[in-house]
Amino acid sequence: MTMHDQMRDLLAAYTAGSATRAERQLVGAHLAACATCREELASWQVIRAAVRAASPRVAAPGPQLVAAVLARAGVSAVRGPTGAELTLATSPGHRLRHAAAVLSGSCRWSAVGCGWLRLWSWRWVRRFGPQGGW
Amino acid sequence: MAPRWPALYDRHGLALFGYLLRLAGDRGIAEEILQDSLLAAWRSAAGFEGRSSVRTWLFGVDRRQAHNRLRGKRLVWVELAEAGEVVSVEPGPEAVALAHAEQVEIAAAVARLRPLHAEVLGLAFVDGLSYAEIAAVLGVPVGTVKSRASHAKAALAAVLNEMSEGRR
Repeated sequence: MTMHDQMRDLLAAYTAGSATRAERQLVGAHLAACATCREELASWQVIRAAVRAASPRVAAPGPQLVAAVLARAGVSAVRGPTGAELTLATSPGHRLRHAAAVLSGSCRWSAVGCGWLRLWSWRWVRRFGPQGGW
Repeated sequence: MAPRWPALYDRHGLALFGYLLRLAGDRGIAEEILQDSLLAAWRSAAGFEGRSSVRTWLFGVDRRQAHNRLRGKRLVWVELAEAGEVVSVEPGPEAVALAHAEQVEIAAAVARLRPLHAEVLGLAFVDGLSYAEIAAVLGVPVGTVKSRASHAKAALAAVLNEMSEGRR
């Protein structure tokens, strides 16, 4: 990989501000000596500005959205002392295990229900079904 | 210890909502997907192994929920052969096209980007995610993210060239 290839990979991250310190130093040192990469950087900066300008800047829904989600999850939540934060009554791990237990329980029950239904249908067929078998 | 979901939402809600808004293009739908995402995150929190940052994980959950909701509607989610995305514009002319274009033209070109390209640029330049983080969110190798970013830039330059030729 040539230095330019390496730079091409790094310049977008450098422009975005997500490059590591070592990468920033590498890019900085290279840019001082390379007009092509300075042009490349300038074009990424133009793109960054355009992408940021094009992305909608709107406020996110308020904290009531979290309360609505917790309500959907069936989690009891109470207001914290400051009123700014909700304190969760149970941990997600606990909720997950609980949900899994409920789910497996209901599967067991539906298996029992299906078995019973099959037995009941069979009896019904024996009683009212066609004579001489199927 | 229970994670403080409202605090997580305070910290990441705006970015997560902005991402969904870019994907869905509609505030109402974005809000619904955000609710679904938070619910999905809540339910799968026990499985979070800390291999990525919480932020990256939440973006990934957002994306999967958006994928479920928007499949076949607005976004082209099909990962087309990456080779097919290459636009044959060399780095030099790209820089020239971008340097000489008017702001309005660049905005118009950004609006015409393919969703896969626009998504990478948004995650990089609006949300400040690194290539490695974007790769984790999209569930693709880092190399794919790099090539999408590079193709996005080439595509922008191609659109700008098209516009300038149209004016002649």
